[in-house]
Amino acid sequence: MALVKITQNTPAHWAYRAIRWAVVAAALLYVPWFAHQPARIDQFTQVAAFAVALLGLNLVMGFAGQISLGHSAFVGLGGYITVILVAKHDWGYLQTIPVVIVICFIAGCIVGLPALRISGLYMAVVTLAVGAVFPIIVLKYDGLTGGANGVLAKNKMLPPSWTPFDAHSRFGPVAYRYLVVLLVAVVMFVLTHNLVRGRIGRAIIALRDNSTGAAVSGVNLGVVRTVLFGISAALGGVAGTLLIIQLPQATDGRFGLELAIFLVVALFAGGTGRTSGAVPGALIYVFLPYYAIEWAKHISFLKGPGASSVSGVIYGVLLLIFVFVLPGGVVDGLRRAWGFVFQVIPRPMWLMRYRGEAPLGTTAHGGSPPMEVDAHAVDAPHTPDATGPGSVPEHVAKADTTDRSLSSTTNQHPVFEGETPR
Amino acid sequence: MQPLLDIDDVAVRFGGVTALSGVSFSVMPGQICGLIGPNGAGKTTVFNCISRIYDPTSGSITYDGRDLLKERPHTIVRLGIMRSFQNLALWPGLTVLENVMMGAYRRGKVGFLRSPLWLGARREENSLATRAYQLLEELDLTDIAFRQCEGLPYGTMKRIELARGLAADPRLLILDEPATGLTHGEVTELGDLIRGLRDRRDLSVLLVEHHMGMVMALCEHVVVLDFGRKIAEGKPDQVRNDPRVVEAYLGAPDQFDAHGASSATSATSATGGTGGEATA
Amino acid sequence: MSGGSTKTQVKAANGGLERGMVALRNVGARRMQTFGGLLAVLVVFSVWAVIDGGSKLLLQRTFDGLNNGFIYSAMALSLVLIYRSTGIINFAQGNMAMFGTFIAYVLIVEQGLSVVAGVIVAMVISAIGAAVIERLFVWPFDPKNHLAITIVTLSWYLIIAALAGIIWAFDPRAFPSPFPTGANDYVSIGGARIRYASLGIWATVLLTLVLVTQLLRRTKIGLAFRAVSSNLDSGRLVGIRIGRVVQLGWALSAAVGTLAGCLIAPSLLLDPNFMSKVLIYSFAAATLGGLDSLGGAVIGGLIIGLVQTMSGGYFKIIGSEFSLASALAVIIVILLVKPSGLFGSRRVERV
Repeated sequence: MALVKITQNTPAHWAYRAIRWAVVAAALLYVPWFAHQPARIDQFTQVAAFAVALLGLNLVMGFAGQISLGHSAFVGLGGYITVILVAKHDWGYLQTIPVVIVICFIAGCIVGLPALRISGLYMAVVTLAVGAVFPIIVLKYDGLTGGANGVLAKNKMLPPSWTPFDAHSRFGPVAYRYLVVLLVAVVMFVLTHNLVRGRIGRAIIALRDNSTGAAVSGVNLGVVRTVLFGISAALGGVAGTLLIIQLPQATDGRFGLELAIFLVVALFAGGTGRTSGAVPGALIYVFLPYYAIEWAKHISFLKGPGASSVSGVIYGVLLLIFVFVLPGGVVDGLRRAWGFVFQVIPRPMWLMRYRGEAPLGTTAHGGSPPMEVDAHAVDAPHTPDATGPGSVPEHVAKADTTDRSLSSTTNQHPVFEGETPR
Repeated sequence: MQPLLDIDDVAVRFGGVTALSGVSFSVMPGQICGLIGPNGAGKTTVFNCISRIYDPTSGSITYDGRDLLKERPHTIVRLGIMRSFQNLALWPGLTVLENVMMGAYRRGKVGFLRSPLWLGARREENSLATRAYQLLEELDLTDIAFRQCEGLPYGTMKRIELARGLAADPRLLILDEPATGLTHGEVTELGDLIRGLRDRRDLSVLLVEHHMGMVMALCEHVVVLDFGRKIAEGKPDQVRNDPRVVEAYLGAPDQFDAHGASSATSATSATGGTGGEATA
Repeated sequence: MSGGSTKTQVKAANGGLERGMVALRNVGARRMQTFGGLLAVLVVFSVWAVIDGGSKLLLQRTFDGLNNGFIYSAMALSLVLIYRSTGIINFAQGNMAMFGTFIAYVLIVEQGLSVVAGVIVAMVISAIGAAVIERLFVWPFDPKNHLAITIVTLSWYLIIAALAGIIWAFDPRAFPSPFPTGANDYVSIGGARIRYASLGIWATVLLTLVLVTQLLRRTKIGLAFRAVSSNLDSGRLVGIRIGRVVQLGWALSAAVGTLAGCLIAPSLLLDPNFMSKVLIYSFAAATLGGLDSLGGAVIGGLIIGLVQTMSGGYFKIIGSEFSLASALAVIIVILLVKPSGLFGSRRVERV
């Protein structure tokens, strides 16, 4: 199918990965320089923060398949904890993160506890309740939260003197905050990605796809669901902290039910079920309303007081388009497009070791080059091409003809039930 | 010899519908035991009781001297019981290899704390994956190891489920209609495969199957259910010639006369609700 | 031999029937238990409340609570109608009702229709609108793809709210009541007042419940509706045109929602957000009642309304602004005890 096929764990594959990551890293670090106004950098700081929130929401909605409409409450909880500790107890912003993680994790587990018995839509209503009640609680305990006035931390996060950022320039603090938020976000992404690619990740997807099968395989559904809710909430809380770093003011309106619903929209636009979906989701969440309002200024009949609603229409229509055309979100579309160009043929290390292959794969038996432009692929996609030494053939490319000696054990048995479709 | 699995006088009622009443049988260690009966006889209900998805209304289920009814669905795999499902319970979001790795979920140790930090996860992942791959080799599924299991032929998915079951290293493997969707030749091969697996491991098999040829050739012991009640039990040959079994499968000889059609209908409609009366 | 076999089967069939009856009676018994439990709570609370604040205050608060409760009931009813036809919670329900109420407002205040006629025309318009939305945006999906359909309702939640904002902006408007609202239009019971407008709302909601249940019980399409909501696949197999039935569910639901909006709009002020709080209470009510039970929705609505008023009134710690939280806490507790609501049907999972 793809134009270029790369076998996993070959130098070509390592180069491919290195280049990909380098491009991503360069793009992320380039933002403060590419953005010409501090306000624009600020928007990217928000993107990084909301990406963490979406990451958490994605765990519950994308991976565990459970609608959650209360994520705003956890973002808000984290935000309020940070802003209160900073404003009233002189903590550093980043020092609050462990506290936020612990408290939000516990809160999330408590909200997730009903999931032990309640399932599906009933649970959606429970989360909705949490999202709706949070602003009310905030207003109720105004001694702590400042009620409708909110809490404002006067000491913004400023770059320390040892950093190359000038704390007194227009750009310095903003760019510094961007990088700090980015760093925290990257750590959260790595942790979450590790979680979902391992044993627990499989269990989570299993309980989404077929919970009975998961239970019979030994997954304790209640524990996994509840802890997952806790982790999702903790990520939401960290996102709240990051939002407070960006703008050190917490109000009930900033973390209302609206936020929860827009987060769901952004997640679906970005892509559920993949950690990377959080990034395009957050970009859409931050920039879509901004440009929508800019655009609405030029349309005469939208000039009235309702002009701010335009982004709501656009969000809604966008969401419809995604559900109909690209249910996997932006990330899924990108991956499919990418799949036409590059295809990585799986050949993990353990498999090479199991088959006694040399770790480098290329020199040991001088097979075909590891990376080849598949000239036939364009006209005859189903050509059973050699896909590289010792790699696992895909279902279309049947057997590995170049390398019988290594993979012969796998293909010798008579075909047991045949590939004939029934 | 002490039976591995002992089902004693189990009854299941949903509201007023009796799905099982007074069912008793046992599976010996190393035995391949078949559970057969017409549609709606309660075979899958028995399985669901063993795997703790249903709670029997009365009766007891003992496994290896342990009260199985005290266990929960996710704990029985620890005791060495693994099952497959009639309509498949695979996970389309995972690859075939990952589906099989999930069968060995209980053998993994890396949990919520270590997984995000990837502490010791690589080693565990590698060993789980290698082991799952070996099973795929044994069942000739390596071609599709890295494919999502969505959209594969039914028979292939049945084999993936079998591989997943074996990944749990069970002492008792419970198979719900493993031969569905297979051609005649494949059924024979599956029978050989199951027997081979049993011979190579410390394994007992309890299976529900409609394919009589396979049951009769494979099983050493056959239990026949009808209307939620055990009507016969014994060696395949004994069971095959039991008049009650013949009647349950073919209907009473006189049912094919003039009024046969209507009474057959009433029998079908009463299947779920009548419990044992029809055969009593 | 032949006779014997037939007899056995007849006996078997009778046995099945008998067991079916027992099962039904069991269900009835469970309902009675639920009712009994609720009643006990109610009695204990009333005794305490009478001691605390006197019977007049209790009565007044009960009437106020019922007033809100009936509105929640109507909205919950509309949620249940869509749940039963499509298997999802329609998050756009509140905004659909809001939009319908705005249509009624335009018809009554700007076009000069009488209040009752305006409301009825608005109900018809919103029913048609919902049927169109269903056909264009819900029907294309596999009915079992609940997540996608839920997301569709979320998109309509956003679109409708934004459209209303663009068209009517956010200034609150007064909505005329279809019932007499003069200062002396009330009856007095035990010193507590019930306004005619309240009585009108109660009667309208109860009438709606009766009409909807009768529609589902007596008509052919109602039978089809009940068949589809209890088992989609079997419904399709016996030749029910599912599309028609689902569309009916949406249309009915939108009409009931608009009615609820028009009933509550006179006491709140009309603006594009005015249904959002009501909607959350109605979610609570529908969930409490069990999502698939029409009667459960009404009872759930009344309970939520009463809990809201009583907790706000009697427990100073909770206070009025916290009543939402207390109402939601009640649902969570009840769901923990009965995971599919008070009157919802528990489905046995088949594997």
